[in-house]
Amino acid sequence: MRNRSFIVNYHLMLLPGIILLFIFSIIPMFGIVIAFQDFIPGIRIWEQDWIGLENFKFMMDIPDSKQVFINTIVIATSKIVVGTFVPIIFALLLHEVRVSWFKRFVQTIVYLPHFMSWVILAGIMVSMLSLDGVMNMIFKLFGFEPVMFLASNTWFRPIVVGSDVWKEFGFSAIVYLAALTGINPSLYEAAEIDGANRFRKLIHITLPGITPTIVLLVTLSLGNVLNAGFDQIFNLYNPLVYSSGDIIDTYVYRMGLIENQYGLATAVGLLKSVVAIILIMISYKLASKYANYRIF
Amino acid sequence: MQKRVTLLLLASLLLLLTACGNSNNTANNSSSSGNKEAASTNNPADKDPHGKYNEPVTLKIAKNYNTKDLKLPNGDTLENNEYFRYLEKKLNVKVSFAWQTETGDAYQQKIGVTIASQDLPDAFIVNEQQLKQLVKADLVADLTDVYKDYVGDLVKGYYDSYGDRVLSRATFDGKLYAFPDTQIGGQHSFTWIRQDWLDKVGMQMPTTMDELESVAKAFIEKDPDGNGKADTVGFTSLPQLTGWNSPNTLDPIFGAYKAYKGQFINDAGGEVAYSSTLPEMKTALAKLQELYQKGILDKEFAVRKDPNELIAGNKVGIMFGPWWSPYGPLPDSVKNDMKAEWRPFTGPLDSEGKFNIYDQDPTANFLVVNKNYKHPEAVLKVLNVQTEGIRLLDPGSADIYKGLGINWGVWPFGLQLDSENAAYDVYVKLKKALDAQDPSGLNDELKGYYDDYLKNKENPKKDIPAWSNAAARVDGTAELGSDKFNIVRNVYFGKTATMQRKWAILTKLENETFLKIVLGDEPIDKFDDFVKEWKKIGGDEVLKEINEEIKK
Amino acid sequence: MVKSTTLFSKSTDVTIVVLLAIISFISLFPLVHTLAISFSEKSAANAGDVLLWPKGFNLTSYRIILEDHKFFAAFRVSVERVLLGAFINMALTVIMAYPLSKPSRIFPGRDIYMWYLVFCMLFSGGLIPLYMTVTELHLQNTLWSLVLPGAVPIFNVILIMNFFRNLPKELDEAAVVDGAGPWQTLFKVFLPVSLPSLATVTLFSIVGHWNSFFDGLIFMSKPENYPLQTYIQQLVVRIDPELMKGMTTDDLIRLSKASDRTLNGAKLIIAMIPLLVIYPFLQKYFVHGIVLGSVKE
Repeated sequence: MRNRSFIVNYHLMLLPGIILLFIFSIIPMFGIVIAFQDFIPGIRIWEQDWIGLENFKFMMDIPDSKQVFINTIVIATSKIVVGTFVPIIFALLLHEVRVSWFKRFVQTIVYLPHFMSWVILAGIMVSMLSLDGVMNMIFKLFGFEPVMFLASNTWFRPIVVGSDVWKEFGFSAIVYLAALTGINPSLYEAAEIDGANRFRKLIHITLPGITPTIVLLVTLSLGNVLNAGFDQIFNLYNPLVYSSGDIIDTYVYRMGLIENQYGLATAVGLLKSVVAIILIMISYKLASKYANYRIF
Repeated sequence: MQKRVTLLLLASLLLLLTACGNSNNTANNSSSSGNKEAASTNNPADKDPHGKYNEPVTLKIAKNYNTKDLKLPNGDTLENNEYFRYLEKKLNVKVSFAWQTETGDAYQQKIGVTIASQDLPDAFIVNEQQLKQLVKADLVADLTDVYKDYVGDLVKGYYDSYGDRVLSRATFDGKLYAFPDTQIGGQHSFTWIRQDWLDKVGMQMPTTMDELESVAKAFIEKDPDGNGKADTVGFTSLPQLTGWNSPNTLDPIFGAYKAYKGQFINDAGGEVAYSSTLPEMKTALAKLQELYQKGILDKEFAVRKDPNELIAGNKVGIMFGPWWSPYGPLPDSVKNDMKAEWRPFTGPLDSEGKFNIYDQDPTANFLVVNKNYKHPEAVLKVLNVQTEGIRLLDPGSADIYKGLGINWGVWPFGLQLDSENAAYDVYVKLKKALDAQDPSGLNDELKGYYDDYLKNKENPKKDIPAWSNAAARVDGTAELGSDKFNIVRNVYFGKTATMQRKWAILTKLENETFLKIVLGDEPIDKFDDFVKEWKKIGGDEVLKEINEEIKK
Repeated sequence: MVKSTTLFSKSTDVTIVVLLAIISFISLFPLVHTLAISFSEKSAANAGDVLLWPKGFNLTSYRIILEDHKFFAAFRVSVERVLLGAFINMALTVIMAYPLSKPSRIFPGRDIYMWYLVFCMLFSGGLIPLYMTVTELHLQNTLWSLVLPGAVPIFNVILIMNFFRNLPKELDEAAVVDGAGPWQTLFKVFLPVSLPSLATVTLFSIVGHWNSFFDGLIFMSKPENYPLQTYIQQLVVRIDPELMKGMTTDDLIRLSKASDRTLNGAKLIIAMIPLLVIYPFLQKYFVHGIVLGSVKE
């Protein structure tokens, strides 16, 4: 039915993309050998000294790595937990609204922040969270002492998690809203005939109806446990909050490009990638096994 | 086959590039190769630090400067301005940027990638670690002869004011590989004390530790602020106890016992020792523990959010800080209490009448030249002209942008050069003018201090910035000329391999132990355990590495 | 009895509406606040007096930006990269997704390509090797450095591939019977029916290109060539950590007081405008996109 020219053309269609990926993804991947070298910048990669796992031992020795690991896990996990609850609650609330223009209006507004870059949002936040910013105005109104939010190790993590949830909750809610509309309306009708009130319908129909979606998304987010959000933290943090806000990605960036510890940085980055990929694979395995989810 | 595919792709990419018209920038980037003119035709025999080339020489540098608030007249830019044109006119050296960044970390990042990919500008500024890597990778030019032949008197004078402590840092195997910057000296802490409180409690300016202690005691007990409440403290400190260039540290007290925190110094046997582990430190800590117990050292110093609150609230009459303390935190005290009379003095002195201080790192940044650059001497010539220009010693450039408040960083190299005694030199000049009542020999900056001093004399503390200038530039810096100094030289400022790995832990151990001892949470004998522990978990290794590196 | 349920329900309805109104307000507040600041008097903004409405309304900040060549140069770079980048992304997405949507019995080798893509998506060599590659090709300082490294949006390819796969098989077969080659089939048959999906992923590409700042910082040699987000990151947002070495909280406070809030606010607002312009399209398509993302087999 299909002759060989079809196949050749298929290969041709893929060729430009494959070559570009080869140049900009595959070739740079050889850079991971730096993790096993005593890398001195300026000397060609293949002429560097090989030191085996020394960089990984180094990583275990320095106290920073432990702190950075803890920060990453804490921030990422908090984002996953709060970032799951808030959209669900929001979706449930919105689902109850019957006036469709109001529904669309709310949706239009809450999706917007998702499309803003962290550069822009950080610019806004730095101004809002400064000593003379809005947040401190509100603080003063309630009689609290003004706080340097972005310089405070107590506040930095809550701010990071809070702003991330603020930015993404609307967008994350889309999937739940889709799942909610997918619930069979006859279930509600049957419940109403049984005299169930709103709350009971929520507990017995709505929540069970979206539970598979919730489980699926939580499972998939397992792959993000090491991703605390480079763009966001890079634009918000400063040396005063390294102890609470420095995450693996920012640490790798600083060690590698600012402190010239290429070997260490690559080793940390490599370790992170490997762990992250294992996590992603586990989560997709779980998702495909229990929720029949397939990405391709 | 593989090769042909890649070549084809490259060819098509290049076609695309030309088509897009964006390629004009790429040519600029192959930095040093552009210098085709043979060096021989360009007067090599002429070893004039300010000599003009016959043929134009291009110099592509890496630059970091935040242009956010830069306002140059006539549409001048950071890369094309009067200074650059002056350099071209005077030296026939055309300076341009291989690349420029707006922030320090963007610069570091860019330097990182350019070094790693060997895509180096002709001249650029690096930190010490990068310098060592560049030398090891053999990418930067040996500047020994260039320095010998082309250094100007001013630049040489600045370097010489540090002895060999600055240039030696850029010297490897007897060869000079960079022009370092300089960090001026005299930033150590001494004692600031409130004369009005002294008068009130009827005491003299103290000189020794014992006298200082009794003054502090009087300040606590005799209600010097006269509010009828026992709410004054002796003196306070940051929890880390010491620190260069920082107010509210206890360095002067450590110094009174010949103890220094965190320095690598030569011991009696000529070996490098770590000052925090020496017996003198134990004595000093024991004294501080005693002072804390007596309540003379602020009971809350370890938990205070901001020690300057005490100063601003005028609850303290003794503060340890550098000569510039009248710029901060002292103005807050004066603002809130016009009677506050802060006086500096070099003390407390040790048993031999000396005031012991350690020196800070005299250099941090290094101007290096690409090994492939044909005219390394052009870099030094530009540095000569630039430095003389910044100091307004070159009539040819002195009037450029006059009165516009243009930052010196607009000159090509962000390399700060000054003599070690710069702060004291200013005092000497000011004092001379004040004594002669003749400010005509002063430049604009000094003239400002001069005027402020007189203004403050007439109307003391009415104008706080004027008070700051008077108190810092005249009273404060005067102390830098004291004959009581005994400067202990730190012999190693770098970071050895083990330090990179373990220094954070070692410092943490040190800081925590010292703080606990001072607070009385641990007995003073804990110090001996600390020394043993410190040596065991890496300290000995570090010292061994340093001794080896220094002997090399 | 019946009455009380409705009453309960009514008050619940009101509560829900109020809650959602508050949530919407919180979502929009930072943006409106910034807008108000950008139109306010400098002193009022710096003192923190502006909330949702400008104090001392004026256009000074915008006037200053109008004269800021660097800002507009950066704006232009961003627009150029979006146009070029999104086009390349879209073109590659289409021509890669099509063959990959064929099952491997029709297109042997399909699975190998697929693994290749997934491999490239999951692993990366890091910044330094990428920088070396880009400099070796002499792309640094050109628009291409911002566009080519991310030219293949693997995730989008997978999305569109999934979409193609779910199209009725008859579509493809009818085209073959009519004697159409693979290119014609793709462009004449598949493209027209998948325009909404393509619009979705293209809009995501546009947003991605518009919002990215890091590549500009790495690959551009001079601030004149920065894309807008990089420009803003470097000149508006970033507190320089080098500068902050040894800084006390006091210094930080002074630094934050010195910053020009109205001007910065105006710059942020202008940087948001293009997104706001395409936002209606975004909104129309992205729900579709999300559903695309969770295709089940």
